[in-house]
Amino acid sequence: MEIPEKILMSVEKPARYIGGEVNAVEKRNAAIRFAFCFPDVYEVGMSHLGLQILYYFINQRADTYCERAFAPWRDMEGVMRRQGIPLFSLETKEPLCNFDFIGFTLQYELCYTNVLNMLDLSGIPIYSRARTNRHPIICAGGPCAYNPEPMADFVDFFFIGEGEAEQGLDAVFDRYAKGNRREFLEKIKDLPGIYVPSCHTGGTVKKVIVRDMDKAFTPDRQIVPVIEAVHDRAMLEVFRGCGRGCRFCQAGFVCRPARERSPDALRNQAETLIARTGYEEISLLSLSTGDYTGFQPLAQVLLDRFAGDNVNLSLPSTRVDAFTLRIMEKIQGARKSGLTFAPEAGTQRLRDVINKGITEEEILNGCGLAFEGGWSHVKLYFMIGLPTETDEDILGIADLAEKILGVYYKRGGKRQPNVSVSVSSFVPKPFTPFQWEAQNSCEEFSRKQQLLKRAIKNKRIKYTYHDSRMSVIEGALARGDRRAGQAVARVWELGARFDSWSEFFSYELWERAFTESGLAIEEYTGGRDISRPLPWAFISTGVSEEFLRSERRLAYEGAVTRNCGESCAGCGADAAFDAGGICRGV
Amino acid sequence: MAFKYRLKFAKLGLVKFVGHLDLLKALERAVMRGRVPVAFSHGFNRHQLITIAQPLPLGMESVGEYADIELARQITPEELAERLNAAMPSGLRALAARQLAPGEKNAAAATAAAEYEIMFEDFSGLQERVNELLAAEQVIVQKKSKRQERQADIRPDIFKIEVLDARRLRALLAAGSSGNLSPRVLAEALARENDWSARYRRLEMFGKRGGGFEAL
Repeated sequence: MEIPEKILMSVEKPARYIGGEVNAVEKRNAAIRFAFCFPDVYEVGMSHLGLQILYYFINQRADTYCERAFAPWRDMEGVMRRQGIPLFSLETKEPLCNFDFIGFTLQYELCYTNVLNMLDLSGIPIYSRARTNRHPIICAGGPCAYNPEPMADFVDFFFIGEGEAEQGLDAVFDRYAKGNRREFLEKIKDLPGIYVPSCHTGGTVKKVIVRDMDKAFTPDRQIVPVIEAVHDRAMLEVFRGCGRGCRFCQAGFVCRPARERSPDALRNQAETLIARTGYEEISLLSLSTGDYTGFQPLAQVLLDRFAGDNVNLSLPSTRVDAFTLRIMEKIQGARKSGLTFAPEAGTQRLRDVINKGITEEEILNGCGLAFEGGWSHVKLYFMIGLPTETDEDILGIADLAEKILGVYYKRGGKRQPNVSVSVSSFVPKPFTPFQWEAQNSCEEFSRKQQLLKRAIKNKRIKYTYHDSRMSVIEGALARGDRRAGQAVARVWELGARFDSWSEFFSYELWERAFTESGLAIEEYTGGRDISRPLPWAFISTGVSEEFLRSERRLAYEGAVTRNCGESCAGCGADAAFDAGGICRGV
Repeated sequence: MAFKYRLKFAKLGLVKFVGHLDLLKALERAVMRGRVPVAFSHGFNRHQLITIAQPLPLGMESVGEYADIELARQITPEELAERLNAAMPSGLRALAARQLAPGEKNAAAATAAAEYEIMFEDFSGLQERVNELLAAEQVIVQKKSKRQERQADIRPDIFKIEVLDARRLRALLAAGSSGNLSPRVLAEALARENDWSARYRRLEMFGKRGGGFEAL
């Protein structure tokens, strides 16, 4: 299909739709065509490491061609609908309805309406049951697939876990034959990690993971976007999973066990990625990069190797000590962007409840070191609405920010310091110890946001907070059941798109959609009975529900659980994957 | 010791929808992938010493784009073009390169004119309309800037128009800091109230030389 040029001339950032990037794959005569769909705009989707991994993983197969599609921005959607142009892939501009598979990555709940919209723009019925043998098979994976129920009426099969694993997506393609979707879904329904809502008769779906990160498929290149992506740099995944056990963090639990990549493998990968992308920056990615066992030598090796080539390193600064600061001084622009801490809660009591292993002393010492080194800007991330939270915890956020300013002045800082306090709203997520908790209401979130606003008096503290109403809808969908999908379909019919973009999000529309579907948002955001099964209980992440219950009890007691690297808490992931203690090295 | 080169390159196909800043980034990354020994600025935010002569409006193709690149060591101009061509994204192509003479003006400062091909989808009486426009003493158009609209006479910025066939013409227009005319503005002036859309391709860019023009 050729995209008429007039259309591209009439929309914002037309390069979102042209493809042709460096390292994009060209392939002819592949029997199976797979469209990897990211249900957000190009610049967001192209920043996603998972897309890069699966794109090259699938394209390794001679018989399969993986192409990409992103959610067209609203201006482009308008033009496409008016002129009857179906959603097309970037590589060959082929309409998506002609593909064998359409695979969505579900990165956040508020992109669900974009999934439905992309199907509709492709001329494909949004409900699985309405599709026929001439339609592509619709699949989905990613973090939100761990609770597949809200999307289960729309998706033909879910893949739970890591697609590039040995038991991953290859097994699905190996069983594919064109023509009969029912037969195909029957054939794959019992494969590891596969959940076919229309054929599911009970039983547990166990996630699939890569066991050895050094042996796992790792792309030696990245598609280099033609317009600046949100994260536009070479991505080195240093480890997967996380041993910290922060009790609010879904990724931390569903990605267990923690698995590291060796420093040698990372160094080699950095070498080829830079050579093949031409990127001027390498980012070390993981859920908590400072915890990487060989963090210091790795950072040093990369800096030494690439400094002469003017390739910069970007480090998330979760842990600030003398060494990290020395490294960061060598990183371009680091001082300007400042240091980042995520204490998440304002008091030690609450930090213990959520098992956020960072103390006030550590934060203040880290800031002190940084200020002595010439830094003057500190960013702090917090959440409000956490379980057991009181107003004292909220006010503790202001106190901590004040104390950091105090440290700056005490150390004789000469410039004007800046402390930014960014506050998001807690969303209880499946497969965390807080999966049974009630979420704060919009009103309660607002009250707390204002309480904190009044408590912050110093002009050097910049306070920002997120729209809590988005977090409430996120929360309703995150712990949704099959019925919640009706609200998603309804709100999409009512015109909702790009709900994760505050300029497009409409709480009123969602409220109306829930009501018209005979549902109440509060039903989903409220506390859950711990004795009753949860809608996602048939999915197994390897972490036992018993462990999550025990973590919940410990949270109420304010007792912390140590990092997996220090001692095994017995979450079950190690045993579930017969990992032989692979998570204990982290 | 600085080694300055001038690169002539083409921008063809869908890559014409990549804007100026993203194009610069794409060139910089091609430089890195092609292991071109580019020189970097000193100071806090180091960057490659590359400048594009003049931004090309979004949606226009070109076979006559120019950029100046400073290298840290000398290589042949042919090697520079080859290294880039091995690494360029689809649609971008190095056409030629030469080493700049000492004291030669940079491409942006030297630019005085640019030649375009304008391809109308439809145009009745193109030759007559061009004759009419060239005969006029003044050609007043509404020029839109970000803040305001104002009237301007574009006639002095039109150096030459040659009609190629019923729908195509070639125009030499003022370009650069001392006067600049976008071929879109010219096309609109020619089409007047008619909604005749056109496609554009920049053919060449020129600096002043004696009483005439010379390709950059």
